[in-house]
Amino acid sequence: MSGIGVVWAVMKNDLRLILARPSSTILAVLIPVNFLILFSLFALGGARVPVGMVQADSGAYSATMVQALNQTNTFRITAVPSQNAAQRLIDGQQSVATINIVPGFSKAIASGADVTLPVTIDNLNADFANDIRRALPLGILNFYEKTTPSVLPMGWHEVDEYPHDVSFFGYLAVSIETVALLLGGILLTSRGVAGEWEQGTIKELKLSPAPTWALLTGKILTGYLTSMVSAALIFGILTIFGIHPQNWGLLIASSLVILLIFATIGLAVGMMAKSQFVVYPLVLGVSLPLFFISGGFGPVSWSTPAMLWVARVFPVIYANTILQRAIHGFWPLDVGVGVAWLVFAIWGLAAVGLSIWLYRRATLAK
Amino acid sequence: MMTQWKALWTIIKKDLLVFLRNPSRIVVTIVPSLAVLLLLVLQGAAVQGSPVAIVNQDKGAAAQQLVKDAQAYNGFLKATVMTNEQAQQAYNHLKVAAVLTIPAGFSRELAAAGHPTVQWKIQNFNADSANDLRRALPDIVNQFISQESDGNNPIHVKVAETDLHSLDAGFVPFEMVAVLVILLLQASTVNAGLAAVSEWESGSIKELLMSPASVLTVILGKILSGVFASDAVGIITVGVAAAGGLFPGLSVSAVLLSLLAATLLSFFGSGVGVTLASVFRVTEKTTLTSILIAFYLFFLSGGIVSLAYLPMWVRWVATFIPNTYAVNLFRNTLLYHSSAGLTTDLLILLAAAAVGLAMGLPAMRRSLAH
Repeated sequence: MSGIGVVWAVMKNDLRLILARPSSTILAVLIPVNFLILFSLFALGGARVPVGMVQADSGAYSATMVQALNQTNTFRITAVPSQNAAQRLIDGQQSVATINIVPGFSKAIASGADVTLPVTIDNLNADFANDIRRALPLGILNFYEKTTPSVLPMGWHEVDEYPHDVSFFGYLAVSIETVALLLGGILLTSRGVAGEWEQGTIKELKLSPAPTWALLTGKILTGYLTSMVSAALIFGILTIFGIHPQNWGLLIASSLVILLIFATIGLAVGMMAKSQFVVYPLVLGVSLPLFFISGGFGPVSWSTPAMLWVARVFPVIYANTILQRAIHGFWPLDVGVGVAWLVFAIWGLAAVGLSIWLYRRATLAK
Repeated sequence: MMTQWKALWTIIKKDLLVFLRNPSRIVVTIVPSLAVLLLLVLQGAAVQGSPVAIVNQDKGAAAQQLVKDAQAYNGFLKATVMTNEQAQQAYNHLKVAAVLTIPAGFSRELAAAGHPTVQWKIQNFNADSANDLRRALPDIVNQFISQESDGNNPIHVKVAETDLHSLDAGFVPFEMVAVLVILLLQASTVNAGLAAVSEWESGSIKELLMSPASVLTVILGKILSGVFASDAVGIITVGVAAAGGLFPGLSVSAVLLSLLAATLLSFFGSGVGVTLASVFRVTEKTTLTSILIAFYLFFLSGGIVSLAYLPMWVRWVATFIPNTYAVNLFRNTLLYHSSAGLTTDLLILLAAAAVGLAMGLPAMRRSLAH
């Protein structure tokens, strides 16, 4: 039988096995989709800080202050009638801060007197609390820009690199998609490989005259084809969530290549793990750290050198960057596309090389 | 009675030995938590902010002061003074997220009440990082104005802040607590499920049923092996985190309370794992479904953010999920040294443990009967 014939036979066999265990296969295909949906919950929460606002002053300056705070693009304001009501929002985990516009606020501003804006913060962590602390001066300066700009001794002029901001969800969704593709490629390939070890059919494969390259290629292609189903579902869901790529051609072409690389990594993972119950929790367990280093929140080059060094080793960040280009049109990485493809090639070749070595050194004894 | 206790302990010991003698099972149980911890530590410093460049084209004192204020600002990872060309190159190569340019004549214009303007050029990839930068400069300007005004600050609105906790918890410890909860649940669900399903797959279920151990003893043995495996994960993770200084001021009572909460959550997870094992009786489906459930419970209880940031329907669902109360208890105990909501959290976790047992015991009993 020629090598191509072996590839085809392996694929046909594995696809039949997949169809013979539909519920397990459906579960495995849906894992990346579930990952996408669940992480989107986190992203849909958005970057706005939920706060309660007690507006105890009815003057015009009070209304302007509320507008100014809204214009910071930081707060999701819920008006409440009293401090007690505001505290109930915090206790019920519906807000993390209360801003009070005290009685006499407008009168004090009109007369040029000092006035205090009491703010209560549920300082759960420094990151959330500092978003609030830093937005307040912006709100106050916005207020003076609207009311008495002449009292401000200086100003600033903002220049944005891009005509509009991509939303928090829109940006994060690309990284979620990248990790979901990774999960699909690795899981769906490794389970087929690990299954051969678990069932003991690896012995028959090793005893057969089939060339090693053909056997492994068949395994990769099976996982690749199955993970395309996952990928299609992921794209469909993102489209429903309102993510519309700028370049569909680049998105599809690059996703197919990226998925192939992830499938080869899945081959190596399956060869090393030799067991599905190791593959599933391990791959899912590392999905969270991989998400963090994929540049999901912004360019990794803005992070610490240690983080950047770790991120650069893995293909996830390069995959994420290519998909960002396809979907949003920018390139949030400090190296070019050539480096990205080089890293993919290295990972792909290393994964295949490792798989061949593991397969060949495996003995027929259990 | 003594026989049953002995049998229970034998079953637990056997399952734990299988766990310990299987390096891959230890790896999959512990490695993810350590990987997340490592990356959170690496990421933690970056949450401070992004790197920016400062181009100062003015030699006056006021400009120098503004530069100092920007460099001292704790919202940037670092603020580096550069020439215009250096700053442009760093900006184009994404080494900095923004460039603050102070034009020539700034100090003179400020002294002459000429209302000078500085330029703030930002890489607005997404609204979140862009808004961080948009908040940063006004914060610096506000401080600068206050310093330069010599007691005659034109800005009369002052913020009086009151914090509900004595300390801000760091980003890393805050996220670590949420990750700890998912790992506890995953470890208990998967390990209890595997401990149970392996008996069917290997056929040793027959030996178990023919032994003098009662059905209840067998089932409890499986559940408890999941609980012990999960507690081990929790102890190792918290131990490493505490050794790394993530939970300062940790008291013995806090550790014991956390262990109690972890154990109760693990009973819930183990009950779910044993139920799934009894239904599917196959490793792959049991493992996959266990992990999916652990992930769903994690995200529907708020995941790595505060519930207040999430849509109302998620907050409503979270009230029925034991993770929500576990996260609350761990954060109060390990981070804020507070007992707020402790009774409620413990009671809910106790109820969750009871629910886990109520699911697992009859499910496995029914499966064993067939």
